[in-house]
Amino acid sequence: MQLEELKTWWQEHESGQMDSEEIDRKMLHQVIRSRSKSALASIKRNIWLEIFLLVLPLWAMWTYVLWKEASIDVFFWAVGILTLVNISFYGIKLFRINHTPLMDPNIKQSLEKLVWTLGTYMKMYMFVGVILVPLGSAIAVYWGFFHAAAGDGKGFSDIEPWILLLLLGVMLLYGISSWLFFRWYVNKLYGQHYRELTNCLKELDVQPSA
Amino acid sequence: MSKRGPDIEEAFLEKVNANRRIIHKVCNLYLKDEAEKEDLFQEILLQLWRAYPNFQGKAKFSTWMYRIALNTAITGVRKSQRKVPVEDREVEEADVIGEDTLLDKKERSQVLWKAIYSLSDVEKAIIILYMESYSYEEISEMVGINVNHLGVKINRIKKKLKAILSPHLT
Repeated sequence: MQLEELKTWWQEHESGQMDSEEIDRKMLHQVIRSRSKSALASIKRNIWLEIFLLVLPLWAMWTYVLWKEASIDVFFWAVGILTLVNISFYGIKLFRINHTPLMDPNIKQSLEKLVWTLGTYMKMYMFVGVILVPLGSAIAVYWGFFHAAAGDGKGFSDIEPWILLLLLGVMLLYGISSWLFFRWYVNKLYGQHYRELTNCLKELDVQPSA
Repeated sequence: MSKRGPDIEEAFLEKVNANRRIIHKVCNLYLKDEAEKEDLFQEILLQLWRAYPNFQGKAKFSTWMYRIALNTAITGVRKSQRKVPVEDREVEEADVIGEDTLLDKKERSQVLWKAIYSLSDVEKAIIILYMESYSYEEISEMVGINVNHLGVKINRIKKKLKAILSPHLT
């Protein structure tokens, strides 16, 4: 079979197709108003949802720090760092997503940008899941026990070793759970799509032998 | 009402309507389910509208439309939401060998579509552009690979399709 035959076949098939309905203004307006189903639009919606979910606990923490706490201590700094890290994290994500044009000059460039963007997000999520969440939790636990001990008139060194070990165990468990959760979440959000796009890109990158 | 004004809308609609079969072809190429095709159609139309201010007229409008439609179909929509069932994509040679080779037009179309569904997303993009009579240079520019690489890929696609279609072309 020659491809020319296939071309003729295709053109015959296409000429036999019924002409489709004309696109009118009403339809165009409807499409413009509708939610984009593109991968980038979905990612953007996820980012805003995460920001919304994050604002509440951060707001609660700042309310506590500013209205209940007279002194600027480790908790203040922890909340401050947590807030800054999150603002930077989501700021970078939104900036990248807003500057990732879907319509690049060719398919390969679009794939490269999308694969890079998704790959970066996946790494960032894992960084948050493996390092930031357990670290933030550890600071919160440390602070909580330090204050509880201070309230009882004790120093941190007065806390019994088995309690410290228990805390360490809880933090470790929390870290592992957090890592597992983020791994599942990242895979659910981007995993399959990322793998399929990567395969498409590999197909374009590999110079096949004739 | 969009912010761009009725004149721009009218010009856009006129151009898109003159080439709207391109969108249908791309939808048919990547999807089988009618509802999903409709979703992809709307997504492509939305992306065309968003990209329209960047259309500078250097290429033909139809070429620009193909570029955006294929980009959207391959990279823009999550594939997990639009996967063609495996049993529909993979056409075993045994399915077609031994059948009557004098197929009518409808059957020929079905076999052709089955053969095309068995290709990868990238191969589908290449073959549709080839069948639409774009030159190797134009296709390589739209896909983003060099002409030699494209030639090898087209040869491979040809071999794949030949295995499925040759019994029906004799």
